[in-house]
Amino acid sequence: MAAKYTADLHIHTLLSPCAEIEMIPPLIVAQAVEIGLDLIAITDHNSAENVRAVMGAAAGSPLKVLPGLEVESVEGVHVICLFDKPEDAESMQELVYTSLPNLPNQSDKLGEQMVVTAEAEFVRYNERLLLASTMLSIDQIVDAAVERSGIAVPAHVDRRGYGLYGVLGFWPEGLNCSAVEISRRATAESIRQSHPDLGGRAIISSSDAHMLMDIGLCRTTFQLERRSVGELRLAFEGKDGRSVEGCVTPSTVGADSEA
Amino acid sequence: MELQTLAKELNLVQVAGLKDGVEVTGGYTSDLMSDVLGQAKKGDVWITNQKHLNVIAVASLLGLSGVIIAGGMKPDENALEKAQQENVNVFVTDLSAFEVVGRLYSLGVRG
Repeated sequence: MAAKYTADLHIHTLLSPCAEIEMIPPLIVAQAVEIGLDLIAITDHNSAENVRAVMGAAAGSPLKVLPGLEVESVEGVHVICLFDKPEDAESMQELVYTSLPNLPNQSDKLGEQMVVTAEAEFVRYNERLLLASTMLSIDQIVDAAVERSGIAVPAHVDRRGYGLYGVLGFWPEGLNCSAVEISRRATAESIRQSHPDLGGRAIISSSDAHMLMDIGLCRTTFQLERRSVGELRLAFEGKDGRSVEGCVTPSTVGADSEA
Repeated sequence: MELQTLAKELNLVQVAGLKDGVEVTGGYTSDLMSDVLGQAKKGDVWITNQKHLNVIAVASLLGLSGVIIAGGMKPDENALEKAQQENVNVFVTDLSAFEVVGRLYSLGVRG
């Protein structure tokens, strides 16, 4: 039987240089639980090195954490890649690492990229420049995620910067994604109106939180049997009783119905 | 001015489209398709580092005189195919977009 779950599928930790230092596993989990989220995904820029820590911090809590990453395509579009197992996210990370420019992070200009434990103990700095585009096209990112039993969702498609519609203008022919994510500035209704080429694809909304108070600022409610990638895939396609129920963004009053 | 004349002056390599009789009436440079869709004009030659399929679609949609893919970038296979099918004039160059725009401007092309 499917049940209602509320999710925020785009959250950064302090591994992303642009994220606040407060984005440590115990506080992310605590905040998510506090505001009533059932499911979150950890999606740092081009890396998954903190996913196990957040999953660990959530052990024993009612919160489910999916390991993921936010990959930047060669075109400059951000794509959220979500997985069930940390090993699959790490495999995606390995591909991404081979595809990033071989440059070091400039922490004084961009911020620190910190790898931590579930208890927020410092492990090391990630020295690689993560705020960069890979050489992977959007198609390649989507295919790679699927090959690793994951799912890819173009992130904040309404955004001019790094959003699919801003960068590519319209839906690229042949791109195989069943859902897109909108930012806090859009509503499901507004994006369907301005981009009819979205067709029947599902729309989700997530916070892209870089600070604690933004967690759950945008959220999506789903009908799922379990909190897993497979269930999300079914929900995006509206199959077998699973569905995307609605998006809640600051622009909406209550949930935007997807019906 | 003639696209071919400009291409010759800048040593651009043509990878798709017509060889003759293409008139360039202006120029535009941007890597964001949403920006090009809103701002570029028919007859403009467009300089970009982007190499994906939508570049060709946008150029065709707007009736641009040509696309110069700069910075050593090479069009994606599906982009090249579409350009050849639709006769979109596409050039590649190792010159940076900045260099290309500067040289076109000195040859009289205006935004």
